[in-house]
Amino acid sequence: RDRSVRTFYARMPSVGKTAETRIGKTVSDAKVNSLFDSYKDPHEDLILTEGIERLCADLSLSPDDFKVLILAWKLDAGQMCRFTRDEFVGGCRSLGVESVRAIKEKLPEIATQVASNPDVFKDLYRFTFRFGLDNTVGQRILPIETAVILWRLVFTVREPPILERWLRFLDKHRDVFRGVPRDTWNMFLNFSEAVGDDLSVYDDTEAWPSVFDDFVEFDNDQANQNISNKDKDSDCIVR
Amino acid sequence: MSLKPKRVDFQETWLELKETVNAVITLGNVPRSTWNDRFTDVYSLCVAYPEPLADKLYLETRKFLDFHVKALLEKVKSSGDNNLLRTYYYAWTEYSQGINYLHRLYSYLNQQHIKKQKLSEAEIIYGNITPGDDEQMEIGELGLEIWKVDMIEPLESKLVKLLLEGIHQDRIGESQSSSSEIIKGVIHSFVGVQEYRKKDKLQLYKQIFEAPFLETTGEYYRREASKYLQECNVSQYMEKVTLRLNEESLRCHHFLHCSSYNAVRAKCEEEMVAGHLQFLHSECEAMVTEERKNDLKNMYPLLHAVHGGLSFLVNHVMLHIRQQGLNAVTDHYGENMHIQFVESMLSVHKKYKQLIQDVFQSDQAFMSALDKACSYVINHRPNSKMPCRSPELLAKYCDSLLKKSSKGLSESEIDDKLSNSITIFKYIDDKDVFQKFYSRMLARRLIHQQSQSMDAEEAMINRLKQACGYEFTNKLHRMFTDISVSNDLNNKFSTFLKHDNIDLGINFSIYVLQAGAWPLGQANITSFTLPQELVKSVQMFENFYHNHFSGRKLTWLHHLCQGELKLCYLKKPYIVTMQVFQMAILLLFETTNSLVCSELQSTLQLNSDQFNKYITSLVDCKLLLSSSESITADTTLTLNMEYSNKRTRLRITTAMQKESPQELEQTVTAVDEDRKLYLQAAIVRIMKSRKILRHNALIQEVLSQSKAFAPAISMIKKCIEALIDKQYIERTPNSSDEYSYVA
Repeated sequence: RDRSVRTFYARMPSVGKTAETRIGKTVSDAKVNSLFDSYKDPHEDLILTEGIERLCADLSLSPDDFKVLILAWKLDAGQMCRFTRDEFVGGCRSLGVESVRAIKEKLPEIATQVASNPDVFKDLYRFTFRFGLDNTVGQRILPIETAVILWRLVFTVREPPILERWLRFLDKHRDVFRGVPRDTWNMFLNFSEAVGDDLSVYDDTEAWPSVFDDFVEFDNDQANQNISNKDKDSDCIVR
Repeated sequence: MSLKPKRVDFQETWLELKETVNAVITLGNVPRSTWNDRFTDVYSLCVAYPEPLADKLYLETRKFLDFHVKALLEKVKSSGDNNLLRTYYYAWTEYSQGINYLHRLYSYLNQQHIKKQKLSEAEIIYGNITPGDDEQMEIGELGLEIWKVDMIEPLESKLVKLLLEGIHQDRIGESQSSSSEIIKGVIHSFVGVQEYRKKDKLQLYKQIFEAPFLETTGEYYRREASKYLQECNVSQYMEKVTLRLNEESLRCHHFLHCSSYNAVRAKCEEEMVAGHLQFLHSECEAMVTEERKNDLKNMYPLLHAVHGGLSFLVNHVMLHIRQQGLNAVTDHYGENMHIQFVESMLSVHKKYKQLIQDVFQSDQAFMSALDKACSYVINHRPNSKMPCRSPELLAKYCDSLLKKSSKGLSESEIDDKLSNSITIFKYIDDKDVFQKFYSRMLARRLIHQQSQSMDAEEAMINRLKQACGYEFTNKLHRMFTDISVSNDLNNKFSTFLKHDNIDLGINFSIYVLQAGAWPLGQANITSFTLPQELVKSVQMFENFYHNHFSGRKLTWLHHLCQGELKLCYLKKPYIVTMQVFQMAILLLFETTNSLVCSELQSTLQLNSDQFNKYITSLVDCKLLLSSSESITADTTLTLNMEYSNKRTRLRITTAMQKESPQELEQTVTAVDEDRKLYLQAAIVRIMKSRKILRHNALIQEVLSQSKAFAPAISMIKKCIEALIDKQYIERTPNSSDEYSYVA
């Protein structure tokens, strides 16, 4: 009977922390540890690329799925393609899961929460930057390529209307920028919320990182070109 | 005569007094003795026993004056409209003078009786108490008040109408000179009649005369203006208007009370200028571009008087100067570009400064238009991708003046030109760029001893300091002092040599320059094996120097050194000044007449760039003969034993003394780097003291702190980002528009 109640609660959409912690108490460290061991690298006490691929396969997820990002976030992973034992065990405990199946059930639930709650999303968003940095070389700035991939991934939910234009702009100027610093990453969320779909409301006297000035200017130039091209086209038609 | 109060028969005394009063008020003949007696009578009545008769006296006097003025009114009225002003005027002149005397005759009554019951001045001005009707007035005031009530009020409309007509006659030039005195007198009687009042002295004048006068004046000039508008162009119109304004102003001074001058002028200007601003403005542009001084001279006071009228003209003047400036400074190319640039800009500045002085009375608005225009021209970038060349050109201009051989100019002429160049300097936005160029050129002048005069150099540095502050010229000053310190050092070194009996075998002098102050890049430093002849000197100096200043590191900049070599192998001896590297090459020919390049280079250890350059220069001046057209490792070089030159003292120059395009680019990037550092330092300084600051406030602070250049907002933003990145500052958690200092 006890068990059926637990599964009942587990299937319920999360009702905040109380539910999680209540379940968390019942998670067995031994089970989670053995779960970790089943994916861990033979030589190091870490789950590395190969283990992550297996884990993803068991979760029936592609490694670049949004839910994998959520898992990494919930496990508070310090770096891509690597889980430490502490991260994994601590994360599973706070999620209240001890099996692949439980994880699989939990992830969609968190995904809806992320999609509906801006504060939760902001937390994930900020995590994503830290997650993307390559700690082994002491990276403090995301390379443009990584940044573009991560932006696409994190905005699987709550995609801002401006995203595609922004990414196109970055792609065209990948030689000019040395990368995306933390401030730019964080401020892009504010930026996208501030401008919505309409860059004309952008005010360059506010404290935006200058790359947004460049972006808006670039976008305006493009728009103007389009207009003048259209004008030319219509001229041709008239003639 | 006793002053003791006594019984007085009022009727009797008053009858006598009244007769005298009548005589006084009509300016009749009153003998001194009679005056004195009546004066005493007034006293006696005031202090009469058993009760004073002052109030009675006052009443009777008032009755008398009332009657007198009413009689005068009848007389004035009966003289007919044509003579009304005249008779009024004469009556007033007589009466006002008479009442003045009467006032004195009643001195005792005024002083002792009436003053006591009067409200004090303060009570009238600051309290809200108005004197009641039944309050007694001093006799002079009483008389005037009666005149006002009994004379002016009944005649008011007639008088004013006649006055206005009279003035109109004067305007159209049909007045008789005799009537003008009368008009003036009548108008002033409106003022005079209230001169005893403590406040609103001009109330009557303003109410009955000034207001209608202004109205008719306005109407008149409105008509005149529209008449002129139909028959005149702008210049004629302005001339006419100026004339009319001056006339009216004179007329006003003649007829009116001084309080009205401004109001009248303003009224006329309102009708003739403010009402037709568009018409006047329509011609502004043409006047300015054609520089029609006379028209502008007329235009200035007209527009100046009207609120907001001038800015239109100011703006056109600004645009015009800007255009003239751009015309003057563009299209200069070639060798003398810097001279043409500076001097034509200066002449534009001078010309328009003069114009503003002559035509616009050095009005501040025009002066700042001149500044704005000049600053626009000087900081104008024909191509937005390229940096502005003005700082460089100005530095070159100074260089050409401070260098030896500046084309036969006298010392004072050079001095003048240098002080003028400060005018341009002040307009330059990128003063730091100028400083970079200037210090490079100064370095070259100092090291190669090309300065015309050290006094002139110092004076110029001081001028820059005056214009831009100590920090700006700090490095220049240090360069300058390095040279004089080095002279001392050379003296000390030679005493040291003498003292220790050391012979270097050559004459040797040196400059010790502080690395931080001199713009001497290390880029040109090449490996180099010092010729044997110089080794001893260098070693001795290093010993000497380290003894004096332990811990200092000397770096030898051989590429900036030069030496004199005496050539004795030719038909006649020559003394040749050359670079140390060239000298090193030639010294190797001491023992042989020909060498192969590869040998030479391996001995000297010069890098091939430099080596080729110096070999080429020696071949070009024919001291060495080369076996092949171009210099390669296998080229054999031979001493030219046939060398001859008319002069026995000469100098071999190389191209290196010219500023190369790379150096130019380097300067620009160096400046950019300096700016970023400067801005970041400024931001950190500001944030450290303010702890938390909003974005825009920070930008403003930074802008106000950078005097040597005008930083682009985008550059400040980038610096802020860099500092966020380096974690000197961060965004405050609750606002993305606010920064806080990270301690």
